[in-house]
Amino acid sequence: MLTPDDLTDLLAAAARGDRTAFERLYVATRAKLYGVVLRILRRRDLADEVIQETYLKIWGSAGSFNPAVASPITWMVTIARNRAIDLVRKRSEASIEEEPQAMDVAADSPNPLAARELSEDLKRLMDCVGLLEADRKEMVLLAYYNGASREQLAAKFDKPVNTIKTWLRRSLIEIRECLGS
Amino acid sequence: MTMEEDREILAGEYVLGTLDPNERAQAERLIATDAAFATRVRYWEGRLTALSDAVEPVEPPSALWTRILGALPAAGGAQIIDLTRRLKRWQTATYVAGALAAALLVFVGVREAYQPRLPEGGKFVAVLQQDKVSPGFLLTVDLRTKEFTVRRVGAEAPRDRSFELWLVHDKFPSPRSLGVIGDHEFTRAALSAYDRQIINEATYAVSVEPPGGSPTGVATGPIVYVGKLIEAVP
Repeated sequence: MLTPDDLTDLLAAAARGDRTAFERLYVATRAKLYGVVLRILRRRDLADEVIQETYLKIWGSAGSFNPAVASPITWMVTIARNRAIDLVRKRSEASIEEEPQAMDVAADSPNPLAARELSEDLKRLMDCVGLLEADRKEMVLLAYYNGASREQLAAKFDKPVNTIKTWLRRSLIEIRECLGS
Repeated sequence: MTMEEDREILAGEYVLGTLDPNERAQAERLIATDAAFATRVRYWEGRLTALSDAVEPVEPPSALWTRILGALPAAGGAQIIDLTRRLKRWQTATYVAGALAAALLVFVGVREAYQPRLPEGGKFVAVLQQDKVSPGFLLTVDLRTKEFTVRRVGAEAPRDRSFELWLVHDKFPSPRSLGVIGDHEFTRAALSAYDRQIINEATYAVSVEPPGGSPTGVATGPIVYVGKLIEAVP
């Protein structure tokens, strides 16, 4: 298990063009990143595509990674998730009808939080997310884990999109107030 | 609802992933141009990414590494690294404080993720600034004709020095000069050598150079103002 400092060193080596270091970085992080984007995209071919783009981007931008701003894994997950979200939004802005299985998969797959031991950061965050009303908590988790759009959330909770917007706004404010800025 | 709160929610929803494509593009533009907004995005990334700790890891297919390796740029991303170094060197040399440094770093970080929709024409504007309260120049570009106007706002060149405008884009190994600006209140010229996508995606930077501009065609002085284009009237 590599520490954040190890990952930072590997990123620095990759920025100098060291492919061996880049491969070690890939081996250490690929399953986590793949798991994150597969939950959002729900298709392995799309997940392959996004992960390939993600690591090319990591290779190209490793020199701009700043450990004072973010942890290496946060930086990498953020790149991967942003690509997955961009793709899922572009493919269809109203895919509920076209892909009726989309939300079912979300409903079928168990809440990841139930199964795993929580990291310290995650415990802190979940202490705050847990203070939200039950359906708002579920909304936040569906958005993060499954990449649900406001429209999909509106369909899921049977509410107008404007209500979902308000819920999102209030939830984020409450989470921030709880975490402190 | 204050504007500050709207921005906070935009940053939070951007990280959560619930924005539509236009709003995502707007947020990415702000990340590149507004250091305070970029800081709020980093805040939410730093907090919400903890959720990914609970995601079951899934091994990608073993052939994927071969594909990635095959797609790596031959030079090992040397061009991009070179650009990053240049920007960093400029940063350290410059007397501009943290906001600019953050803006540049953020720019380097997001420029590939940022895929703006590409309008056919229209007026685009960039505030070239040191920080949020110190605009130096207003850059207006007509994307249809590729003509641009730079209006001097708060900038005053040091004695016996000229301001030079540069186009920075990762398609080019080094910034491209767009000429000396600021000798008069308005400077007009054209970007005819560049395609619309590059004009739209580029970062525009102003450096301090010897009178008449850099003698070598490469920026030699500190970057004092920087900005990205946004659509003036959607």
